[in-house]
Amino acid sequence: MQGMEEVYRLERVSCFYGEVAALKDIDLNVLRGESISVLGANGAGKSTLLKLLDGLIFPSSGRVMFFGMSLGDAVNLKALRERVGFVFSEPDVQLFSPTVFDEVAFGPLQIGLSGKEVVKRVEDTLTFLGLSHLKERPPYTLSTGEKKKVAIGSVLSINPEVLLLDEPTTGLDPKTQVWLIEVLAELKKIGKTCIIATHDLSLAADLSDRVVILGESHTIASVGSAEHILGNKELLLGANLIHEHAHRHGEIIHRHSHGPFSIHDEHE
Amino acid sequence: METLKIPEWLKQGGQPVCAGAVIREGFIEKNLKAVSSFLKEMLSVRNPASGPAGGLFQGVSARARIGGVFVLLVGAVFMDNAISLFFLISTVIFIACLSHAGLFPLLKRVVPAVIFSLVVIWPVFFNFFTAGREFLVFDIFGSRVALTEEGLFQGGFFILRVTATASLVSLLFLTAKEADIFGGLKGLGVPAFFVTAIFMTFRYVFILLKIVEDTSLARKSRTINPAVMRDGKRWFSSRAGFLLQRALYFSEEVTLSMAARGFTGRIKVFASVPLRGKDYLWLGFAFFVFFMSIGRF
Repeated sequence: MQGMEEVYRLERVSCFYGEVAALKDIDLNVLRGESISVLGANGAGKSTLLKLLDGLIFPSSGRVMFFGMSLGDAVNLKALRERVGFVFSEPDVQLFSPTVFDEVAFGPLQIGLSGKEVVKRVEDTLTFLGLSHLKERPPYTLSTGEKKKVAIGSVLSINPEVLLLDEPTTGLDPKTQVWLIEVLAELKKIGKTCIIATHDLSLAADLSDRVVILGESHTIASVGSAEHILGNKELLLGANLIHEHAHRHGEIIHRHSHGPFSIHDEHE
Repeated sequence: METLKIPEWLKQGGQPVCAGAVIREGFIEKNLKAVSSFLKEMLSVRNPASGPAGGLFQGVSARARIGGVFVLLVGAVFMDNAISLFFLISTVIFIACLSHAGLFPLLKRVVPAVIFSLVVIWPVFFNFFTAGREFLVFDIFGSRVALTEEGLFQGGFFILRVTATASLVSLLFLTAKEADIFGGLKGLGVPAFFVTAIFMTFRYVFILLKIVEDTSLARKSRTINPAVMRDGKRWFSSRAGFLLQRALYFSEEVTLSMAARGFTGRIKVFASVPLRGKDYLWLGFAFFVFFMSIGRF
């Protein structure tokens, strides 16, 4: 990853909601084209971190640098919106337009693209995501999986360089989860920077170059390669990302982590 | 690793299933269900006639449709005789039939408005409110109460006006998708921010309704008898507070999600499509009726 341009640099970032800490002393950098998963238990501060990266909220202390410029001071907002796309965890808050077509067109229109270019982008996005047949439908009439697809489409149509995805697999059926992983893998191939907040370890294993673990103390517990982090059972147990389970097979006590991402390693 | 300790009572089986009383719904539950279903019925604009190939009225652009209906609504306010209102109502029925909207769905929307108007204006029919020539007299507990011709005429005329305006609005809703209506409003020059705000209110009413329904069902799934009125009211007030919290949460998150896609306070939309032949024809008809009504048609 050496020599790659730095997209984000977070320097001693802390964020509080009133007296309640969401993030504490976060130091992190994100390189161009990198795919990073931010893992953490519920309430660890993952969503807050993504909102900070999108300039939707600002840190209580510390700095968030975007391509070397401080968010909130120096960065042109239009440039930020053109280059960063945020897929919210709850699609209902993101889908507010009368039709799927209007929803996907909303972003490109706001950044000032011409009507012709917007229509082309929307048609292409809907085709890419297999949503063309839904374009006249009001988004609130769609299923959860379809809503999620439209929410992703509404961000992709802006053609952002950085994609921030908050809990992208939550509430999706297995088929749609696989579809989503394939889409994200394609986007990674074409050089998009993806930052995914999740507690789905298998998603992190499939897509990430690096994994960041946010601990329940709202600080970074560890950063490293996906292989290294996801193989560290103690670390995952400490961050409440996996649960250990023990049962007996005759004389043997079998201990292993529990959940969709299991580490079977211990026998007594 | 800590072993999970299951409480003893959790290991015991449940009561055997036996016949019992019919499960009834409480007053609050019934009303919540009724209000929710009424709002859905009234607010949702989804029917086969609203499609592009629906029929006559669907061929007119949404902008022209809304503009024409608005002009006719103003015209209906100026009409001062029953024949012109009958003409307007007949025209609406005729268009509804040619647009495959159907008479029954039209009636379903118009009749509640007429009933509500009757409830509001019924005193007008009687001599204690409208003096005039009495033609049907009742003796109620020694008091003389009579229907008057003038009262019937005034009340009847009001009802006709309500029927005409309600059927015009219903025709619009029955032949247009909600997206068309909001798109049409933008096309008519209503500020985009205003239209978007109305649409978002409209859209999130459905989400909040869903939350209300689910909350009510979740409560029902854990109760045996319907709540007595006092408990029901208490529960309802606490849920109203919860709903307000959810509404505030949604408003904050929606604002952030709009900002994340480049919204800076001014919503940009597609430029309007120019009007076509059918649009001019419809608008011409609407303005003709309007001017005739001003000229005491």
